[in-house]
Amino acid sequence: MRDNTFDNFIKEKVTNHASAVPTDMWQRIVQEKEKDRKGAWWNRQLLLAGGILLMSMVAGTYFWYNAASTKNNIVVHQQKIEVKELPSTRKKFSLSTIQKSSNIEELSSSEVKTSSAKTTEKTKAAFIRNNSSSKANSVETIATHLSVPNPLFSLRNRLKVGQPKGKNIIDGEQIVKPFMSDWEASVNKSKTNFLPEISTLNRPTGLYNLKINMKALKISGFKKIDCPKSGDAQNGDWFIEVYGSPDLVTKQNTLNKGTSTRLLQSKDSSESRQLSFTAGVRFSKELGENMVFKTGFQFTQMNEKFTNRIENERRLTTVVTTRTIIGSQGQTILVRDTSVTEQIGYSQTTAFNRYRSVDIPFLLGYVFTLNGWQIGINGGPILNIKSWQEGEGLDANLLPVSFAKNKATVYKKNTGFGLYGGVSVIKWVGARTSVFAEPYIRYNLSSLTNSSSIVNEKYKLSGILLGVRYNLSNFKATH
Amino acid sequence: MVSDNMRNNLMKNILVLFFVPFLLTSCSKDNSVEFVPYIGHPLNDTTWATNVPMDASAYRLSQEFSYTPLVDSFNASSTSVVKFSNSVEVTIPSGSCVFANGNAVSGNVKIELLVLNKKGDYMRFARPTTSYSSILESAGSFYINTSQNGSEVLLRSNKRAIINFIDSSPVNNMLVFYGQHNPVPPLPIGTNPLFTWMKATDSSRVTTFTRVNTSGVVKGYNLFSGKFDWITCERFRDTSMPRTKITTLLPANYTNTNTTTYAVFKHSNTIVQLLGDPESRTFFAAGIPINEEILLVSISLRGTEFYLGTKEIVSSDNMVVSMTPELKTKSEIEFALDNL
Repeated sequence: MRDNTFDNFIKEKVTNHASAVPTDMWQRIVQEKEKDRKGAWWNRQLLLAGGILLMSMVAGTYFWYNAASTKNNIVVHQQKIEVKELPSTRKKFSLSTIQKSSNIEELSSSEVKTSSAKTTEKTKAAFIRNNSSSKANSVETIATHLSVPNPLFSLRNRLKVGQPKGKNIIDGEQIVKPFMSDWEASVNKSKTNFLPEISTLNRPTGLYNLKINMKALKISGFKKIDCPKSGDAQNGDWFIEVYGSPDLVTKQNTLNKGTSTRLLQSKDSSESRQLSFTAGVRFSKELGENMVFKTGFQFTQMNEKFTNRIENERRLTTVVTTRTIIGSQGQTILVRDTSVTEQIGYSQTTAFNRYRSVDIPFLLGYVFTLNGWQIGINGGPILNIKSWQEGEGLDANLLPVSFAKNKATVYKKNTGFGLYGGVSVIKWVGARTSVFAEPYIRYNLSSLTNSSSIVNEKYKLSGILLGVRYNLSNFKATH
Repeated sequence: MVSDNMRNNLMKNILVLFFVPFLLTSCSKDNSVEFVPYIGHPLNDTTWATNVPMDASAYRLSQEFSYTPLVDSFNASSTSVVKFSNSVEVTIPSGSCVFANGNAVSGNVKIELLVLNKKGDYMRFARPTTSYSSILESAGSFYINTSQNGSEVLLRSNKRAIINFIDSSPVNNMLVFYGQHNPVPPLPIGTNPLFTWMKATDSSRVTTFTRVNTSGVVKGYNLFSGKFDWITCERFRDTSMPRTKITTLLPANYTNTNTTTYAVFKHSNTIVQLLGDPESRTFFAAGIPINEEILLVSISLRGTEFYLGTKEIVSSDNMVVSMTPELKTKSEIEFALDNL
């Protein structure tokens, strides 16, 4: 028995297919880029901030969409089949042929849920394959979605096959159906409640490398079996991440009303940013298949070298001298004298300013797997809990003045919200442990100085988080 | 096992990468305020010169504090009495002027006159009252320069110009001294190598006068001089008192290239210059009478800044005096010189 659920789902996906690129698209892009160049730096920062917010919103929307789709006890499963082209002159292939290949190299993690109920299926597939003009580049993307209403089972397969050129949508049922038939037959025949995940298939001919990554395949009613994972985190897992980052700081000084530009120039020339750092610990919670939420505490220390030179400074130095003089009768007289000698020069004040803060990030991330590496795109607000500073700066008279962490200064004790965006690359190094590197950029929305300060100081940090991630959840998994 | 080792190494590398940035950036660095003296700046000059160059600040002081001479003219063809505004009269006998080549001068001759009367005047022009190493007491010093159309005019050797100037207490043992530029070595210790007074060996003399005019009784000197240029009416100080040497110590950047130091006698018109000694980096004056009330004065020009140091002493045997000059304006030093 078949229903129209899968058909409707496919239709929704197909209707979102991208149309051809207009011929004047590039000219319009160039015009827009010219407009961007004319824009102020502040507009760029707003765009950056907006982009991070938009990313967070999109990611959040996606998460809630996925969460809503699982409320009806319809377990969504994903199977990925990737076909990589090898040097070959072969233009086409049959998926059933691939399915029958015995050259299975790796089994990835999958999860199988059994069901005692009878299974019915309806298989519809949409394929995107290269057009006739791109024969040499072979297969493109094939997306197969299988959906079976509760309580039987629900399955979503997604097949990806790379194709660099144009796309045509064709009916792929004839290709997928044999595959699913064999699959179903295998399940029914074995009765072992076990369905292996096919990670990689290499054709014996060596013409194509087919990589099938089945992640978390669950079949309702089947007995649950923990299977090895392919590198993706198990849904709902908790992670703790400990990280540190060398940071580069970009500081922007702007004038408050009525302040001289000379002060701004002097301030800019007297301050040079030094290598800074961030360290922290955060907890990561998987939300659905690809979404993660991260929060924790992080400490940031922005280092700055302050140098100021004051010309025509005078210094008095006490000098003790011993001189030998000849007396009126020709005798030698030893004279010890203490005098004060004045010298003129410049005084060079060097101070190492430190701007420290403790912050709480609230990050949403989208994680996906690429060639055995996990890639994450993280973004969201970051809330400052406390800030304190110490060092020296210039006052309105261009003279160095110190600011200490325990004294009232021109700096705020709390700088409010900032925006964070980063891309993480995660590599498993153990059963529970993975390491990650996350290039990031952080922008403080408000000035570090009070409104009464003569200069507004805004900071932007960029760095790369290097850390260790540990899976806190109790599961049997190997990677 | 290999993979385990690789993982361990990987973890170690990660830890190193993790902690190195913190070690580099979190360690405390000291703040500092460093003073760097300007190299070659005249205020920082501590160099003493064996031979002080003529463009040194010490010599420029005379240019800074000197004043311009009084200018008048006379007819060389007849006996002329030139009366200057400071009550000094110069009488030039008829036919007493010649050019450097010996030719007689006729017609108008320009005459310039400087009078050193106050103690500070001697310091302004660096004309201390010393004849070689001997200390003099001055009744007045003069500089007379005569010229016609830019050509120097001299006094005939057998002629005398008469300088008449007022002094409330003229004494009878005053002598005529001529200025001696760059006296020929060897020089006695304490002799200014650039200028000294030398007792006139000609028929020059000094007489006193007393006359009555509308303002009352006027006393003074008539100085009969056989030369123009620098002339003084002085006498040797009493030599009955034992003599000694006075040494002054100044901070390191007050040297003989930027400082002149004088001993100004309180009870006589005697001004002695303390000479710089590069070896001991001191200023000294020899032959100073003991128990003399003296005001030590130093004037310095460091860069464009003037410094004045003063110290009152009563001279004693081999006296060493430390002085600390202070920054002054030029007018402040002018005032001080006028009131010594």
